[in-house]
Amino acid sequence: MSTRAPFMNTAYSGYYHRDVPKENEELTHIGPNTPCGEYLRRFWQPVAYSDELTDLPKKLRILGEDLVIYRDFDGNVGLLELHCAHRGTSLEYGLVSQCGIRCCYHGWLFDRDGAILETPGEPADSTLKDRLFQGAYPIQESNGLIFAYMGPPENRPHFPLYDSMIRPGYKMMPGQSYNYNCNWLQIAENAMDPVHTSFLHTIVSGSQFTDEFGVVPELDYVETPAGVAYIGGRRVGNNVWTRTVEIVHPNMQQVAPVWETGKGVHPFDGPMMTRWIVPIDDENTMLIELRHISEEDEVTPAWWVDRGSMLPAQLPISDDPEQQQRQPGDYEAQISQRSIAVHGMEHLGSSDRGVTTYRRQIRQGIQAVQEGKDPLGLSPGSDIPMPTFSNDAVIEAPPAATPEEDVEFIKDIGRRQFEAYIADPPNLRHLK
Amino acid sequence: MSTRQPFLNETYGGYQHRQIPQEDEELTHVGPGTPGGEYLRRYWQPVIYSHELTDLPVRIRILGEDLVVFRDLSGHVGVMELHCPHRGTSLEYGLVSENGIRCCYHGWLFDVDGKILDTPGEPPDSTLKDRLYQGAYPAEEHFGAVFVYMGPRGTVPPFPNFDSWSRPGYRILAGPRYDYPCNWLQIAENAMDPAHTAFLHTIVSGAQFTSEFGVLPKEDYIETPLGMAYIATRRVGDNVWVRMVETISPNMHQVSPIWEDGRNEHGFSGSMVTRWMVPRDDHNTMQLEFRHISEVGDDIPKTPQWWSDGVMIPGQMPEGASNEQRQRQPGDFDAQVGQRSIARHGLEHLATTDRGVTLFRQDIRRGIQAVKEGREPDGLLIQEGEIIPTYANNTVVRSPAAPSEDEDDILIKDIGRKLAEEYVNNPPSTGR
Repeated sequence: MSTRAPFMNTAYSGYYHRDVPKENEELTHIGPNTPCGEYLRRFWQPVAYSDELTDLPKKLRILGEDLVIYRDFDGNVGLLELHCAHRGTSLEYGLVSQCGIRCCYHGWLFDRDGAILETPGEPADSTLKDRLFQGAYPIQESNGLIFAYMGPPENRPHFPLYDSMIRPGYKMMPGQSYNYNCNWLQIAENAMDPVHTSFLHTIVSGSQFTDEFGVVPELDYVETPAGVAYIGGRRVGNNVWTRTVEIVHPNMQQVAPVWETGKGVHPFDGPMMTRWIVPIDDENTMLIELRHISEEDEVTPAWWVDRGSMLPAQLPISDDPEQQQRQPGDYEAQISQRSIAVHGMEHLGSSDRGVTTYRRQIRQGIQAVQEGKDPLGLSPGSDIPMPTFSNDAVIEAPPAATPEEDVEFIKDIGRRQFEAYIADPPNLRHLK
Repeated sequence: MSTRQPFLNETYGGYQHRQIPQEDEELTHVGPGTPGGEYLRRYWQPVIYSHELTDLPVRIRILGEDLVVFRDLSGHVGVMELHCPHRGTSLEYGLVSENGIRCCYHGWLFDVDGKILDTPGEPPDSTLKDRLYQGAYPAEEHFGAVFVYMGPRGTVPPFPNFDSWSRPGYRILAGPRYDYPCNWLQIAENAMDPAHTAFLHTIVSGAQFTSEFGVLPKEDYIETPLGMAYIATRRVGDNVWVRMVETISPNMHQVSPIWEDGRNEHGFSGSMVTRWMVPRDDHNTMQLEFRHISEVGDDIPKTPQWWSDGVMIPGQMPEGASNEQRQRQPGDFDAQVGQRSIARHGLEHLATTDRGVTLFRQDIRRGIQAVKEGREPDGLLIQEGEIIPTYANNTVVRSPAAPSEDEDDILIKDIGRKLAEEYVNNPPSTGR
């Protein structure tokens, strides 16, 4: 745990920030053997899009480990330690082969599970290849993404199936990946911070989403069976628009459509995307996304169907530092929280309850793993859909008599809707 | 104190330099809580020129601290910690406001003194903003620059009123900024090293100043109430030219005009420039300068046009020169940055001409010691409004050469000494 900076209680007090606390290592460090690293390794993590694999191997860095990923001519994907077990040459220079990958230096050939198939320079009677293995990780391809399991082999969980991805009328489409040169947690927790969407995305930088986002919503935070969600309730004329965005443990998020205006009445509509905030190392993070595309015309906007266009405000608006200062987005706000945000220098207010709840859940997951227990959020079975709750819903509900009463009214609508979703998950109803 | 390197007394002895001593941390480290840093923090330091403040905030690094500086729409200048106390986002992406600056992420608004004026996402009854402050530093604008006091409260000295800044017939012009990727001390002590002007600036690189600078002067040093000065005396025909350059502790110096050629008799000329060597951090230094521009001519050589046009002093910066050109014509930048990122005193071998450097380091060490012991360092014991005499100048007196060269050396050194003592005892600004 980081220690706190002093609570500054006078003007012109910069001098009194003498002992600056360090980052919270437990929640932010993710290398092998770190508490959070071991926690994250208990879940399947997406590491690349399937279509990124060509005839060349690809160097990756995930959870502080240098890896190589490739698809051999038999079509099997391998994820191995980057450096050859023989003399350490990088397998990014290897030859993708019929089965496995061959190191460029002395030709050792590795299968996708790490078995050494050939050591051409060794004597014919050498048994080295039958005894030694290259470090490898199991992978699973799903919806155009390649997932890896980097945890202890005996704890490998079922591959998860989320109910949002099997909604009738929707298909999954790989999106873009984004790189951030900062720690994973500050990117992840941004999703539990709805206040920033009104401020950063609307007031500061012009309407990056719809204008209706400019109203600070009535907020509530709720724990779900496998994570945390916020419910942002807004009044739009005679309508009440409730927006639910969720984090599913440990580092997956589902975001409700940003093109919602609250003007048309509709029920629970599910997320616009699922995305994972994957740590590259302690100070670099990759966001990788799967877009939910409606098969009906004019439900999903064309720009979202176009894989080349990205969510507004994710990356800097330009390479020009002045333009970045004039129109900062998520990227600038989050990167600049320091390379690893220092919690001991923060002053969280009541609007940060989503962030504190999420951090507490992550800590609980870390502790569970440390105590030898299963963390929350593991898949119960690869054919058992896990319920998720991200959505926009708009109902007609004319304002209460006074603004104060209306605030309570809007919050109450959100709360009651959420209770109904938990009791009967909407994404699962079609299976009954 | 750094330990010494063995005194090498053999040829081909490179191998004997096994243990390289570290830098002298006491004199060179400037971060919060370091002895040198605490000393420098007891003085007003210029941090940016006023004209650099636009409608955007500017990120700066001073004494190892990351800060943001801005001018709000009411015209007040604020200097505060870079990272927002809420969630740490950099205020370089903030919105400069009517009063203060607003963070881009959640809209917290900070006044120039660090007071939190608004926390828009928090409930109306939140008292956080009335209790918490952003770390800020007092700032004042003088002579076209923003000066900051970064030391403890209760010891804020009055802004110094140097006589050279209010000379009749002169105006002050904020000059260009010079950035050096090395420690501040080696930039600062260069001013107490008159031998280098004869060698580096004239013999090595051709006459960067007037050709008269190419004669090695008779050197002497004198303590002043606020620091020290060197006295460089040269014979020019029947004239004796006495040149004084001073350092004002801890990190300011005044240089006498470099367009002097000693051919025409004149009295105390005053200085051409006041400069601060401001540490950004242990390894980076900026020099801000304030040029003294004469508006009327008298017997003292007038300010040349290039100086009032803001052109850089020759020999200061490599400005676009190629590596080869810099090797062929090195200037102050190359000589000083080349002393290592932080010069190692334990690897130096100081000789007779380095007496100014040695005395300057003693001055600094005395100041550091005073602050450590809870005393006031030199230069702070001034009353509000008191005019502080300074001594940098050229003076040219007629005094034909003594019969022999040796006698003349004694004569001109004596003239320089007496003149300097006279100036220190009866400062020209008050004595007239």
